Amino acid sequence: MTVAARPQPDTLPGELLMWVLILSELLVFGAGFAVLLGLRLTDPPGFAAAQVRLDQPVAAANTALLITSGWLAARGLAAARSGAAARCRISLLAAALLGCGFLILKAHDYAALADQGIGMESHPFFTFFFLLTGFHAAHVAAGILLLIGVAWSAQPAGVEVATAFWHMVDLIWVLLLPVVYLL
Amino acid sequence: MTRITQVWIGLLLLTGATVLLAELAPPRAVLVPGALILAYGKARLILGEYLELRQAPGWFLGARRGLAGVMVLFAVLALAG
Repeated sequence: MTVAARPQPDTLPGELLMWVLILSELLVFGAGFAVLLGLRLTDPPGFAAAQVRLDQPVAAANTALLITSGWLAARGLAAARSGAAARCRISLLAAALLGCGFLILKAHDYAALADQGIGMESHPFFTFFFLLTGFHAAHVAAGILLLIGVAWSAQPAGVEVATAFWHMVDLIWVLLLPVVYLL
Repeated sequence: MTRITQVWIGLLLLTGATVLLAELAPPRAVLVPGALILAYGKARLILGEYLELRQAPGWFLGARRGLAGVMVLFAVLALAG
C-alpha cells in the first residue's frame, strides 16, 4: 500500500524568529499609523497645517536612499550565497553607508523643524511624527550595526538575518511615507 | 539585468510616481488611494522579492491580503476626516 504524497506546506524563507520580529514590528508601526490617522479625524485642519511644515523632498530623498541600500543589501546576500565574500562585504558596507546618509538627512529634518520652534509638544501630529520617525531611525541605526557586523564574516546565514532586518526597515519606511508625509 | 536590480528600478519608479502625485496635489479623494496603492506596490515588491516571500506562495498571499486590508483601513481613516 502506498501513501499518497501530500503537498509540502509553505515554508517561510530564512529564520522563523526574524519573521516573528518583522510581523511584530509591522503591527507596532501599523497601530501607530492607525492611531495617527484616527487622531487626525479630531482636527483635520490642524493636522494638515502641521503636515505642510514637513520637508517632503527630504523624505523622498530618504526613500531613494533606503531603497538603494536595500538593493545593495540584496546584492550582498546574493554574493554571500555564491561565496563571493569580498563582493558581499562591499555591498553590505555600501548599504550601511547609505543608511548613515538616511540618518544624516533625518537629523537635518529634525534640526529644520527645531529651527522653526517645532517640537514633540507643538501639536499631536508632531508628537506622532517624532515618535514614529524616531523609532524608525533607531531601527535604521540598529540595522547599520547589524550590516557592519555580518559584513566581516560574510557567512550566508548571518547575512540573511541582517539583510532581512534591513528590508523590514525599508518596508516600514515605504508605509510610513504616505501616512506621515502625504495623507 | 538581475531580478534584484529590476526590483530596485521598480521601487525607484514607484517612488518617483509618489513624488509626482504629491507634486500634482490632486483632491484628497485621489491622493489618498493613489499614495496608498503606490505604497502597497512598493511593500509587495520588498516582501516578495527582497524578503523572498514569493518562495512561499501561501504566506505571500496571506501577507498581500493582510497588507491590502491595512491599506483599506488607512484609506477609510484618511478619507473620513
